[in-house]
Amino acid sequence: MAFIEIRDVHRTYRTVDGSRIASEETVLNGLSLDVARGELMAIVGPNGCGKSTLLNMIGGLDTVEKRVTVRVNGSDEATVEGSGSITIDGFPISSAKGDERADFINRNVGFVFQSHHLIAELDVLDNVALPMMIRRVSRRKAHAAADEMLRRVELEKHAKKRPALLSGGQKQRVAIARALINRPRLLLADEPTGSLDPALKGSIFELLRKLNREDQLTVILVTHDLDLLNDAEGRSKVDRVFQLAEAKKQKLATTEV
Amino acid sequence: MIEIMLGRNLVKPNYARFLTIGTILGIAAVIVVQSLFANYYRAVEQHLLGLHPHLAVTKESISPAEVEKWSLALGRHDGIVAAAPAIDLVTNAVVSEVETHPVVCADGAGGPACFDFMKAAAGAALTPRQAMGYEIERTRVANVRLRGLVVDGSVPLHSVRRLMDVRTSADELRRLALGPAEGMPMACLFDRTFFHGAQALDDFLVRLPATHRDGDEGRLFRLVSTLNLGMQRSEHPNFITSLESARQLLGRPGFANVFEIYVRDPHEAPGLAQDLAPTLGGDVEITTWIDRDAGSFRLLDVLRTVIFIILFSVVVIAALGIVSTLSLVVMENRPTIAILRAMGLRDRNLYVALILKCWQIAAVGLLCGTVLGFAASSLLLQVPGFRQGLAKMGVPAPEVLVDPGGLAVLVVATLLLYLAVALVPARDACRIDPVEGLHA
Repeated sequence: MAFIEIRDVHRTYRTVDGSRIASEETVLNGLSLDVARGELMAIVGPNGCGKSTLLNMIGGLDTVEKRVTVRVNGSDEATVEGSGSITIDGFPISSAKGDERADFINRNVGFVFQSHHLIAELDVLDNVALPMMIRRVSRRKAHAAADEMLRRVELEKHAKKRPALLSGGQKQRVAIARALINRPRLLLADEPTGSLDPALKGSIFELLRKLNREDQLTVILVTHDLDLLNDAEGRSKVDRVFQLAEAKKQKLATTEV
Repeated sequence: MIEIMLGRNLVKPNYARFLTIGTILGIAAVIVVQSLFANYYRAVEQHLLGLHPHLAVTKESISPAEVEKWSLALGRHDGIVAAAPAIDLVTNAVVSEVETHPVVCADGAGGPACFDFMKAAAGAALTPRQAMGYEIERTRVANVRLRGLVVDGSVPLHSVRRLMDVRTSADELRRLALGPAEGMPMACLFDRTFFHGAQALDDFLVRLPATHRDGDEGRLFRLVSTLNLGMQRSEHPNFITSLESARQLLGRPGFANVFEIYVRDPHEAPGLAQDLAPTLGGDVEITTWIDRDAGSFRLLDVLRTVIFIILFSVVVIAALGIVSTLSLVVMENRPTIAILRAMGLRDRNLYVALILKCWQIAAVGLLCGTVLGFAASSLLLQVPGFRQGLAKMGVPAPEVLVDPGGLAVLVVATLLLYLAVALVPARDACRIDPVEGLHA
């Protein structure tokens, strides 16, 4: 059994004008995928092919089976539909709800986003310690663990700074430290190097690789930057690159490189 | 605790400051209004207690044997402070303000011959009224509530004294208490509004048409003080005198139709009335001061309800303001809430964070608002114009009055309200879609 099992996942976004469907866009169309434990996998594909949607579904931020209506631009409404199932180590993340899902995410999944999403009012140490405090670990112990994580990402000297005083690369390192403080089994990174300059991109990617190798951490990385995934000799630096095709071709053309 | 940390970071200090200031002012306002109303309520109670006995046992005519029997029976009851027969009836009266003159009378062959040094020329004959030493200046005919009190101990007199406009000398009060002295006007009290311009120690001639025959001039009374009933008006003007004076005026020696009872705690009068009913027999009517003025108390209850509705409306509007502020806080913090959800934050954590923040604001508001409320009430009562206004409403000696029970209700109600106020924004926060929030 694979660590992550994704089965027949669909997702369609519809824009509704009054009672009329104004536009319809299918981004995931019967996608199925397995990810092995400890694998470093990159998901690549054109804009709008559903990379981030898939990542959010795996991480339980976006539910798989649903039909919801959201208001967009005043009177226009978009209906979002999906189906299928996703399990992580046997846990049905796609159907779990409430506290059960929240607790699973807290203990097993770490997120890193393109915009680091650090909380501006908290210092670096508190930002990193936050997931542990959500787990009801005492502030003292959480700070000790956060200190350790900051050492791993080489930011221990910046523990008492506010995020606004850090560079883009430092902020992303803090976000990675925060994602890993609860020692999750899965790290989901949505374009973590997207807003960084080329020199920093490499260092962040190397950090993710190091964590993957040292901690047997399963890492799924969404990126547009294919250069990042290969070394100078053109060898792949990741275990697998998952090419997500346009939805209409997905069943046939989902490509593994 | 994560929730305290979240609450502090979600609700920015500026918002928290204004919400706290609003709460402090709201609580202070409630305390000031409650204190003023408590003063008014107490003043009304004192007025009513000044006019009426705590318990009145009424019978058409109470015999001396019954007076003796009841006195013995009631004397054994712990809660009763005083009990005495009295007269309490409504009768038509002709009350005339008179000017008295020094008159000298001497027995002559044809009966007593009198001489008024001020009014009559030397040697001139005096009219019968002039011979009694007075001139009528103005007259009022009205139904009055005639009360004759036995002042056995000081309780009834003390009660009436609360209403007196003028603190009359101890001698005058003693005369009211002891009854009529030979050849002297009898002491009386009546409502300030009954005879406008009447002053303490003015003399009045009182005649009861139902009792006094034609030609009977009535009895002469001296006003001890007028009674200030504030905004409470009796159905009939009160005319209060000693039991003996009332008997003389009525021409019914030994008469009493009420047995007045004063108890230690006036608010226990209704319970005591039920206890006493078997002791006093079935042919009497027992009424409490609360029964007697049920209308006034109903009016006060209506007033209290109106004040409560107004205050509650203000509180609801304030609560809606807090809800909208917290909703704004939630909207502003959508990305933060979304990232917290991505870290596994539970719905419960969000609810608790906002509730604790609201309770923190409520706690500071209650503490500072109570202190401010006491201070503001105290300062307000120092303002001479305000005190005079209250005095006109029948609240002669206002003070800061806050019922501890009422304060406890205020604390509990505020905490419950702030709990309710936190629920709507907390629910909104829980409904934030993490994906949308992260892109906000």
